[in-house]
Amino acid sequence: MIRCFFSALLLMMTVGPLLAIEGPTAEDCAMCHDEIAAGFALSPHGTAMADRSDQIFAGACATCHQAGEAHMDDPSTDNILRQPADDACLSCHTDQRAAIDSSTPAHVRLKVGCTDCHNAGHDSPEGLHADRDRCVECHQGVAASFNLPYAHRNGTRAFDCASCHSIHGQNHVARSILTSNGGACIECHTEKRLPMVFPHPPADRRGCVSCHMPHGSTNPRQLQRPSVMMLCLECHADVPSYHDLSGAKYRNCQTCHTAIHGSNHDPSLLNE
Amino acid sequence: MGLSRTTPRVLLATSIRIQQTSTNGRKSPCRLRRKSGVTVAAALLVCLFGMPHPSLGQEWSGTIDMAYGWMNTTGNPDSFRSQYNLDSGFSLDQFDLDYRGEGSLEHFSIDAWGWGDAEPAESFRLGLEFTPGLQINLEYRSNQSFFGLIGSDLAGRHEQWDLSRWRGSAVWTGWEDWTIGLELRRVDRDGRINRPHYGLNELYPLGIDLEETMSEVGIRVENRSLPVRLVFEQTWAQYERTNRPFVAGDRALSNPDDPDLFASVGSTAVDEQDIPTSSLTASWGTDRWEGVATVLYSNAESDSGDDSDGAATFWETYDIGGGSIGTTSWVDEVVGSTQMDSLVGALRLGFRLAPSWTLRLGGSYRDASADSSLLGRRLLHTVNPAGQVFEIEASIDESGYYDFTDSDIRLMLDWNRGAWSIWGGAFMAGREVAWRLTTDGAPFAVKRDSDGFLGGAAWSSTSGIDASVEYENGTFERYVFRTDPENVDRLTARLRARLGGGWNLNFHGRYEQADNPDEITALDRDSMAHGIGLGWTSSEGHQSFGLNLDQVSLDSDTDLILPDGESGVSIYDLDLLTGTVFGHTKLGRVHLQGSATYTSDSGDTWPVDAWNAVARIGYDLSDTTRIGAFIQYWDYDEKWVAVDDFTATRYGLSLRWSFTR
Repeated sequence: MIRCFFSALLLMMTVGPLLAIEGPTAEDCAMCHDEIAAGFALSPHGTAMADRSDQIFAGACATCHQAGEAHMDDPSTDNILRQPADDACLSCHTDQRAAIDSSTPAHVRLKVGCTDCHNAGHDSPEGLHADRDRCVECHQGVAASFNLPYAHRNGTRAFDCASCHSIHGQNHVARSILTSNGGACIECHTEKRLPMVFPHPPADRRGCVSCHMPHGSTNPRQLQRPSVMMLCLECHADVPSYHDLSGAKYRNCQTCHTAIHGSNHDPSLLNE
Repeated sequence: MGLSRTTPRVLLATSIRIQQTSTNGRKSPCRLRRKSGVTVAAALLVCLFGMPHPSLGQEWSGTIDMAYGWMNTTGNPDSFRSQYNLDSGFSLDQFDLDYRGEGSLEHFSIDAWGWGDAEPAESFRLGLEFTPGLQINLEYRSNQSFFGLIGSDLAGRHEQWDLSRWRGSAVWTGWEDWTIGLELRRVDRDGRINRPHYGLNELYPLGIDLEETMSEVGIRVENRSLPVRLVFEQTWAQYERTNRPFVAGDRALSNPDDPDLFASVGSTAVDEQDIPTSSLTASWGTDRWEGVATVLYSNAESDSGDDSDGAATFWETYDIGGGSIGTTSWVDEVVGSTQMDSLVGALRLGFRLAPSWTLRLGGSYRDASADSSLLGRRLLHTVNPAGQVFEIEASIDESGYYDFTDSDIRLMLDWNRGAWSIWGGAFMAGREVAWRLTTDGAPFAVKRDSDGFLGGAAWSSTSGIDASVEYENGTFERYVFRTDPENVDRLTARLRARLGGGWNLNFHGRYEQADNPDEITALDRDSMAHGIGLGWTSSEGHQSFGLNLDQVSLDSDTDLILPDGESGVSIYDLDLLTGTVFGHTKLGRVHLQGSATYTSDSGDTWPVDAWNAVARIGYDLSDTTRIGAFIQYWDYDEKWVAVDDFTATRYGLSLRWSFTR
């Protein structure tokens, strides 16, 4: 009895996955779509599926395109999904399901699906990982900011949006954003990391954007104002009277208060 | 025979398209020593040409794209470098090498750009994938920053530093249920800052040699088989800063005839932070609901002393009357330390109440408390020409705290049916901040609450038109900072249309208004941003052109209290127009690509006009080789002063070669 049970279990474990493939296998699809099938097999997406298991790879076409026996009987685009639905992607990328729907509801509401940003890549790795160009298609105003004179540049290349923005909610940047203290900015600008003996509270509580415009600005240092003094005075209403603003040396607060992001030495942020 | 990934790779390899990386809009890279750039290029070429012939089941593909440019700048070259930091010289626009095989090394890839004089950024990435499930990645990125303006109120500062980032990771995915990863990161900033230093009632030239590092090691463990997917991450980070000031000129900048000289300045300080961080993320879901919960804890310690854990010494010395009267020095000998505990929690839940209804609940909590101290002494040390010493000493015994608690909760209800989505919700947030930065400093404590609501609708048709509009209102009680608003209204609208025939039309608009009461700062901030984009792409992708126009206006008034007690107003008036035209085409073997951007700020505060444009032409010598030429143009014109204006042109030649075996 026990032997029968284990034999049945073994049979289910070996044959079960094959039976689980609904619809035609990739080999079936390759009979007509040979170039696509070959390209997909070599693409990063195809190899990643095959790495998981041959069964997943064999069911790839049917999973994404919802192709069934009907399509084999009648090879029409009416009985398949030419553009895979999100559910197809999420059936494998289960780790993204919760992150997508909850953390980027705007994308869900605006019907921005996986394939709007990611190219499933039948034969090319390009676009498999969404790059800046995909974001720019919708976030055009933000892209324009990077053309401003003082912008966050990477040579003549634009910064990759995902360097700072956590699109799916779970990556290194997301951890920085959770801990605040400047959020994503301190991933690179590590010298601004708290704690310090004498912090500059706005830098921590409101983040770098309280003084800087991270994408780009017409002002030097990507500051929110062209004049440093004005930026400081908007908060600092208790500046001692010996700061004679008619004198040039008092018009740039940072001439003396050099440790503007925080100091381990001086409570007035006069020195690091 | 079942179809596996290896089968078509062997049998159908001839139908594989060559992996090539597009260079559209990517003629760039980095700057560094020309010697290293040329060396790297030569090494890469040798590497490519010396590639072993692949055996059955192996494929190699690669691309190398490099350029040499010449730069011509009129006006203020430092102003140009402050914005773009480009130069003459070699640049590696793109290098990639990809190998796929069937041995234990399944995939090998290199991707690099930069490594030349021409551009201020560089990148290198190496990826290795071994069977059955080991992935190794190594990344290096570097950016060179330059700053030096004459006309800004930051005049006198001159900065040049490099930011280098290393990241290495090894991820084991060979087990069905678990993924384990090890990650190492390091960030270095080194270079030099020159700036005015206020001493003896004059501004003196000060230099600072930067040496700042961050090192981090982390492990990440992920479970994929449990009903609840768990990701645990533990990192240990160490930050160290050993910046050293030096005298960059002994004469006062503001008055070179002043007889008092800047004799010496120095520091023995070593600032260190040790920050271990633990985080656990759990996500789970069914067809009806989903959730993500994250808990993070870190206990950070910061110490500032000298390199033997004693007191750090800071000093600056002036020769009074050139030394004929004597010298005077300010010396601080201090030890600083801070301990900060941070606890963060975040929860996001989504419920599908009915086929068209989704309820989303999100909330977060952050609590951090920091206790700081600074102990030591401050010394005024004077010596007259006869060698007599006079000292005045004061002890330093400061302690402070900086605590905050932030919390927020957001509830949203979405209705989705067919082309329509309608949503609405409300949020509440609390912020409790308390600090006292010095022992006798004024304690500050504010508890601030806010709430608000938002609602919106989106329509997404099958014919390719997407439109959305959203309104958000928030109100805040009490003020942590004077510029905090009491009310914020925000209206956002978007339209995206795929018109057919390759045409796309985008429109976006956002209006935001924020204010606070007269007794705070009478804040009045209105901003309007809107833009339109029109583009066309041919069906084969060989031709495209487009136009983007964006207008941003910002009027911000904030009441000030000036140091003399008088009141004033900070007015910022920005009226910014950015227009870009772009296009590319392919005519036989000839590739043309270009774009031009015009930026104009016609606001009253600091009006500016700027242009930048680029044009490229490429010619395919063969299927694998392309030669090209490019020209770039920049013009920058500030209306109030001309000292930071510039016009720059950069032109050059490029060569691209790709292969597959």
